[in-house]
Amino acid sequence: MGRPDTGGSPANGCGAFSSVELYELAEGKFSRDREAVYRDHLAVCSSCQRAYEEFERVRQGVQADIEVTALAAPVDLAARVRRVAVGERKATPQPLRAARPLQRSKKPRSAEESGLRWTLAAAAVVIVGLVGLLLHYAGEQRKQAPVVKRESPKAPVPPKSPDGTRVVVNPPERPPERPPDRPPERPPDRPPERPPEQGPEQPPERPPEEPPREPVEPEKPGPTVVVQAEPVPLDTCAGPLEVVHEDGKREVAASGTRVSRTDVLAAGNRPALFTLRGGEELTMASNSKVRVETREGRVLASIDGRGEVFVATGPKPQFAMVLEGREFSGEHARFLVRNAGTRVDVAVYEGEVRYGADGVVKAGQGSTASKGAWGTASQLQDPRPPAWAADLGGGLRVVFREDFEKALPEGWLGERVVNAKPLGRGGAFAATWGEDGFGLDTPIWEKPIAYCKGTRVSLRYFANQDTKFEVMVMNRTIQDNYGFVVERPAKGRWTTISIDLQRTGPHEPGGRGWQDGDAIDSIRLRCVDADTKCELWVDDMTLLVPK
Amino acid sequence: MPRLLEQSDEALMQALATGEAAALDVLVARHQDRLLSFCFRFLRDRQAAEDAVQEAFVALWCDRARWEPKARVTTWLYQIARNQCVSAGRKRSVRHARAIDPEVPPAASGPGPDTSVRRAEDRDRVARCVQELPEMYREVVILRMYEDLPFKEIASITGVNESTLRTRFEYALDKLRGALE
Repeated sequence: MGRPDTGGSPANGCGAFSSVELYELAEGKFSRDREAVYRDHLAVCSSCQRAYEEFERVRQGVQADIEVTALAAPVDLAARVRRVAVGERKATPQPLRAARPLQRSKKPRSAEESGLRWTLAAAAVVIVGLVGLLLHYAGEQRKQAPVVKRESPKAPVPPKSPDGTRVVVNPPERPPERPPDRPPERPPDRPPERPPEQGPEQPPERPPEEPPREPVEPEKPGPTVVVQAEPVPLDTCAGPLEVVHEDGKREVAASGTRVSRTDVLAAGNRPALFTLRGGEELTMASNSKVRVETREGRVLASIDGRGEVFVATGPKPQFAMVLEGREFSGEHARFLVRNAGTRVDVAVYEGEVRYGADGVVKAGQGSTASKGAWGTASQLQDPRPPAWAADLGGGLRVVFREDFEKALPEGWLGERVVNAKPLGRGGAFAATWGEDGFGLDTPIWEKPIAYCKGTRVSLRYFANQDTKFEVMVMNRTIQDNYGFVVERPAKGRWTTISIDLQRTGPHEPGGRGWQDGDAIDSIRLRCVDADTKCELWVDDMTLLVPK
Repeated sequence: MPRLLEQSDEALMQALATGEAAALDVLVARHQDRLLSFCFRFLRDRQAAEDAVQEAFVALWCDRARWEPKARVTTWLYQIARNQCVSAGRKRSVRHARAIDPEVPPAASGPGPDTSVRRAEDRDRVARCVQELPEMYREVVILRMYEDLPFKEIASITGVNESTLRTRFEYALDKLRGALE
């Protein structure tokens, strides 16, 4: 008998048909001929007949439930949607998918629109003046204590404090920067050398001192203005990409569109992806401004000012990333280029990148150079390249990372904190009192991560008490939290822990261990014995899976 | 507006992509009942279901630029609504067993034909069993049995391949069948 393949397992004593088949038979999904085959068998097999009747009861039960649960939407739902979507979220980006010429909008403005713009502009001038006065006043009172600024998840993104030590595999939505001539203040995201079960606390490593900087060269004149022949297809955009035309006219191919964390995760941590004609991909962080030009048959992309661009080159060698007069090029290479003010960083993830006459940076390595001087491959001035190597060549792959450098979406339990005293750097996530005690929750609801053996969670924490806390990873598959208790947390210093999920256990008594494919959808910290004076911050929360 | 009413979902999405907010009204009116029922079956909480539907349409508006014409609008809507339900379900409770919403009428308990009583009992048992299924099984049951969607479309909505979905459905069916015994 030609039995249809349903992928299911037999559900009855006979084993001729699966449950799916019998249910679909009850639903009447089959053609007459195919149904006849099943019916013939049921006529002679009491076991299958009984199973079929039971699935018919299931079907009828479902139908009855469908009738009961068929709801009519409230009459004002459409109005509510419109009010929220079109009203409050009017700043939502306009569609970018439609093909369009690379020209600025010439749409005429109404009188009201123009009046409103002038009013807003005048208000902005007044505000800038007031802020200037305040800054001047603040500058005269430099001895005041640092201020902790707390920001609710809904608050707008404040100006970031620069930081340049973050390890990235996929470029961040807002890349870290760091001020010139300032050593990195935090260690790379590497698992601690000691496993957490033996002593989960490990003070962050101190980065090596940077050698003295070479003198900064004066700014060079911009490269020759040439043509980018075709529009640049866009997915999402977080930073302006400027295309320079042959006649000297400059156009912004797409301007700053913020994308949500959900979008970034869904897009594989690609906040702004530009695909060029030759197949090269430029992924730009939101503060980056890139100019694309063609010259002598080549395509050159350059970062204007500070910024960070992740480059994936195609097979053509004619593409080069230009930064401070240097050209970085490679075929089938993936690399990160960063202009950090007085320095230029490059990190290579795949392939190799050439620069200068004979400079080469290979996969897993990085190079840093002061302005006006060429960096030498692996002449490391900051601790990131080893960390890149650990991430890229150490057998682990980052599948989730949150550095709390930007405003967080709704639904996260905790408060994003910037410029807090123990931080001395960018944002972190502060635990708060909630339903589950003193803790925080970093959800990954939209795109759960599949567990596999060797999956680790890594994070940095700062606690002002040595009260034990628990790191929990939610297993959505069986809807239980798997916890690891940090019994004696380090007090008063930033500490990195890295936990193999095999060391975590289910909360439900008798619960099973992790199994490959289990869905991870949040990371929590909970401090059940904490008092109201307890303070707990986390930063650089990362999930890593074996390659 | 009358012109919009006659347009297909895909045409409305094209209009939406150009910023025509009226197209959103038409899409809401066209799909709100179906999505609300879907969300309610997922969450068993009318208020939460309404919130999920509202957020789904808001997300549709916000993400309108990401819609690709090759995708069916209903599939995309289900996908967004399903994500909203998953998020809402996680926010409400992650470890506590769900209870059947009291808004759903209980099974008939008075005298009546045996078949009617039995069918109502079966309905209760099936509904309870569906709610007690782990989320990964529950969603395939709701999409396949309640929404009557083919596995191919469910795969697009959930991001799980068809083979896995069939296996999950097989498991869920056996659970449901067992619930009636």
